[in-house]
Amino acid sequence: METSSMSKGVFVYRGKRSKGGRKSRSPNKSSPRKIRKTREEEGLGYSQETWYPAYKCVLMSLEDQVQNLYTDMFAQLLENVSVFLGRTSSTAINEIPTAVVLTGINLPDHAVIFEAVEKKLIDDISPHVVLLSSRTCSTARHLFGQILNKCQFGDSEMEIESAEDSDDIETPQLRKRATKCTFSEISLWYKNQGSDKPVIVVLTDFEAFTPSVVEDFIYLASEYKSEVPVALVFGVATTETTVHCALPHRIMSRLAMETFATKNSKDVLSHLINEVILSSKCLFRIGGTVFKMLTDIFLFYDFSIQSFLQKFKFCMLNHFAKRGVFAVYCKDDLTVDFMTSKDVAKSIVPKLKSFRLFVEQHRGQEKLDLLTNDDHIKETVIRLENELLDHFDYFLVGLKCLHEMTASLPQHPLGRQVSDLYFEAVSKKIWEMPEYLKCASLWKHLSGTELEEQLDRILLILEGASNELAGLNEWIADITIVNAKLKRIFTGQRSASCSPKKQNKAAELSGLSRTQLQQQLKELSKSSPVQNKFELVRNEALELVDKMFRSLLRPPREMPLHELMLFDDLELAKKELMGNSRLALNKALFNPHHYLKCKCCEQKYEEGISTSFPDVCISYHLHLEFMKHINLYDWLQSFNLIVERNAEEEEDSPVSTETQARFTQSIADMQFLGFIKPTSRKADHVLRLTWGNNCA
Amino acid sequence: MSASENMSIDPEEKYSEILQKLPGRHKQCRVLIDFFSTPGQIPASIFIHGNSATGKTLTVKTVLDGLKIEYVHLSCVEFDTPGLLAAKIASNLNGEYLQLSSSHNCSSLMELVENLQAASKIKNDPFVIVLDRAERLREMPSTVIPALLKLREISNMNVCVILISDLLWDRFYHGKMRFCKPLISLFFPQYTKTECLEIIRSRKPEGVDDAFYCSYTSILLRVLYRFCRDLNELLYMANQHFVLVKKLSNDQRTIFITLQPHLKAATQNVHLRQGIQQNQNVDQKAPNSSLISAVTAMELPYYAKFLLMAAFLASFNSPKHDRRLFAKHHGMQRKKAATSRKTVKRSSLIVGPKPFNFERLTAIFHSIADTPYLITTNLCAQLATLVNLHLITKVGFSGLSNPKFKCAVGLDFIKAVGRTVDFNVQRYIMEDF
Repeated sequence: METSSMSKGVFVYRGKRSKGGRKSRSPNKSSPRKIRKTREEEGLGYSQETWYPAYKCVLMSLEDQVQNLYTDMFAQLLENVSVFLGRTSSTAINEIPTAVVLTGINLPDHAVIFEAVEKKLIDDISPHVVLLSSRTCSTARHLFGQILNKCQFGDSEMEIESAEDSDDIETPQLRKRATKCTFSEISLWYKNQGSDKPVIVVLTDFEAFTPSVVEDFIYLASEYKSEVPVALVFGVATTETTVHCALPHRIMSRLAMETFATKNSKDVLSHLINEVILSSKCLFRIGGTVFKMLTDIFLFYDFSIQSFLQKFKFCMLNHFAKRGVFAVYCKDDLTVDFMTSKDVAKSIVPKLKSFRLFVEQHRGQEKLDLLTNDDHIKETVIRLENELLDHFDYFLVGLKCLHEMTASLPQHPLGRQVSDLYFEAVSKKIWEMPEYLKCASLWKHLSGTELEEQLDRILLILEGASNELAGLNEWIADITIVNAKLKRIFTGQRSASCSPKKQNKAAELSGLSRTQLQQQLKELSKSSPVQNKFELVRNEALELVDKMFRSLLRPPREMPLHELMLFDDLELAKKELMGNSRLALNKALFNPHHYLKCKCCEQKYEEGISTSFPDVCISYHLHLEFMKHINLYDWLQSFNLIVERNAEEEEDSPVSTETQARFTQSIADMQFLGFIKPTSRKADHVLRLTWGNNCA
Repeated sequence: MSASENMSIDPEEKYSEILQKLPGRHKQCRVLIDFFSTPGQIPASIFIHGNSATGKTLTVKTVLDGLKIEYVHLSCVEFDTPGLLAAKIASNLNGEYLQLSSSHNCSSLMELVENLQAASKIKNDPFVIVLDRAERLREMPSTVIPALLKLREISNMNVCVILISDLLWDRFYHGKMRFCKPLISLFFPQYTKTECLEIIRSRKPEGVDDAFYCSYTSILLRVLYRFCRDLNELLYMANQHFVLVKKLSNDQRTIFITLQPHLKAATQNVHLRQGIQQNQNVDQKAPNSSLISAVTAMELPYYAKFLLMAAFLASFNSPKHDRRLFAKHHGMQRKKAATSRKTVKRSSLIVGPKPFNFERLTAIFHSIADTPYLITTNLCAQLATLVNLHLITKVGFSGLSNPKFKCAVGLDFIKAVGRTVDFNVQRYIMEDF
């Protein structure tokens, strides 16, 4: 294709796209979300790696599980909305039925919700469902145009846009795409298409819409109600008062609103963690500190499930890229078996700290084998990894049991969520922590019924998992015995009323004088309280449970080869996931090598300013040495000294014009970055704006 | 001629049918009928004003329909440019008079006038243009309203323009319309209580006993009319609450007892259109809790709450107090400052939020929220979210380099937010309340 130049220097390439190629694209593929996803996966350049298929499999299973979770969670909400709209749009009322969906402020998640809403409404009520976002609806007529387009052509925007680029002739109907139209055109279209299903308009981000646009739309929709039945869905991120504030009474009186709330996003996260991330199905295990960081970002910053998942996936990809095949190793997988013993021996495994510690534990021939014999190394690695994987499943079950025991305690010494326990237990012996000891002391005050209930629930968890984990059976047997004992005591106690011994004591005490009573009470306090039957059994039960936790909750972080399975690189995660723009800026200016990775600037900080630094970095370094007011001439002199360091040093040589230009440029950059600003007091001075120690 | 003969035979009987359809609007209806009953002498322009839900459009349409006069009704909200307006009128006109299938490209008022002139040559029957929400005409070029009002003069056709609006004519006036005023101005007052009752009863759902509905509506109106006189709202309330009493017997007492708690709640949120299920929840809560529940319902992330509070403090405190409020060693306050503070005191919360820049926001944020990190991208994204949700508004077009913001939430709201994170906002406001 020819290249044509519009104005000098700009070349317009007309896109070349074959006709067949475009048509073969199925409509559902063209949704932008999916395109983005495939690009993400392919663009990383990892697709040739050996671990990549396994990684992709893990990713897919994660995504499937998340999708299922979402479907479960939204089911009730979608049902309610659809029932409401179905009911109101079938009966003739004067108002426009309006469902206000409170979505929570986690903006990135809204797309998922509204995708589900759209699908449900199309299935249940009407094919004419229009999703609108405020970006495309700056005026009322743009909004009508959007509605008409989406109703007429469906959601195939991408295809039509690409059709406009290409040269071939389309059918005139497709060509005619109104970006603006009036409501009467919508009503005309509705009359022609023949069905009497309502048009459902979903305003996904109600807050961002211009109120007057929504006003006009509602006004006209209710004017045309007899011709075009319209139903509305507002996605409101804050509260429904926003709707009341945005719309005047005149418009409100045309709506029949009902509010629907989505689930609290904190609940959603804990659900997600319990069901997906901390389940044995998830094949990527995340370390305590990184996991805590992710949840903290969620709780403190954004409340967004989507971005949480993105960060989680990022950790996953990083881990797999670093650890390769071993990271995705699972019991049924044969990838490692295909590797030669030599590969295993040469690979990262022997370098791992935990493996070296493991080797150190052995003596003599065994140690030698572990260091030199490739076959032996491979065998050991596979054995250890199997052990670790097995243990991790037990660990998760143990965690759930512990959560059952601690969740209902006053003040929640170990936190309310399973994830709180996980943060600690994965890397430390949780039974040595003071919080655990506090819990243990609180358990001693449990009443019989409470204890019984908790044991029942623990049994339920253990039995649920025992199909796959045979090692749990002995614990089940032991706990059942204790539980039965407990129950027996209760049935016995209920038949015998208050113990006669105590009554006697009370009677004895009542007849005494004050001094005698004092004496008596002192004696009573000295004698150790006699443990009754229940207390004995309770202690037995608690000891058993404690023993179980000690065995199940052995921290995976302390086992050999844990690096292969647990991703616990907090530094990396922090660097990549908690962006700090100012820190980055300072770092770049102070030590350009950190980002440029050039050879010339490779040096330690102490060496000071190098000639090879970019100009703006030199200026930055120099300005750190000045006080509040910076004399530009002094600055220029120092700049000149550094830039011309290699040239022969002559006193009082004038600064070359080139240096002057470079200096001016760098000063302008500094001003743009907000480090200095000109003052009106002195013409040749600038004001320094930042203070304090620079962060390197 | 036949029309006038009919009229002379029995004018009242002919129009009683129209009047019947419009309870409570007989006076206005008669006026309109007077104007339009003699086809040769219809006025050139009429201006109708009155609050919403007073039957303006309904009356005009019913009268014109009843008298069988050709008219086109359009809303200035939809046809918001002179071109669109002209095209719509012309297409109707051509359909009626010129029997053309489509308007031959009428895209300006001038062409409309030409069309009207052509139509007047064919036959001179009256033609009425009804423009609803006429206040929107003010947003069009200033010549449009004068042109519409003088359409008869210009086009020489028997045409009448009716403008319907919520506003008074004074609000339409501007310099260029000095000699231009609608000939007749007609006011539609609010419906009285008995008229409301009559209209609500006329919209009785089918299959309901008359006497029962009568007593139901009178109870409803007795309670609600004090709070709300809007007919639409009353109709909505009547529909909403009827479900509750549907199955009761016709006994005023039982109806009242069943309705009472719901009506009590309804008085709190007339015009809010919240549906009846929620009303029940509301009356169980304490009266002051609605705001707090709104805050908890919104569930902001932890730092977002502090960001919002920092924004509030930044926009309601003057920058000169920042040092005293937030710096650790601010030293003693001079006495002079204390006395001069009084003038500041009164103003800031009444005057409203002042704009502040990003730097000041972050400085305050860091001094009130104990963060281990400096401003991170996550926090900046959170600020963008708050701006998006209209909790903080961006001021002006200062662009990327130095954005300015304002806090858009009130004191009560921010106090409730502060309570959720154990932070006493009031301590930091240089005001007394």
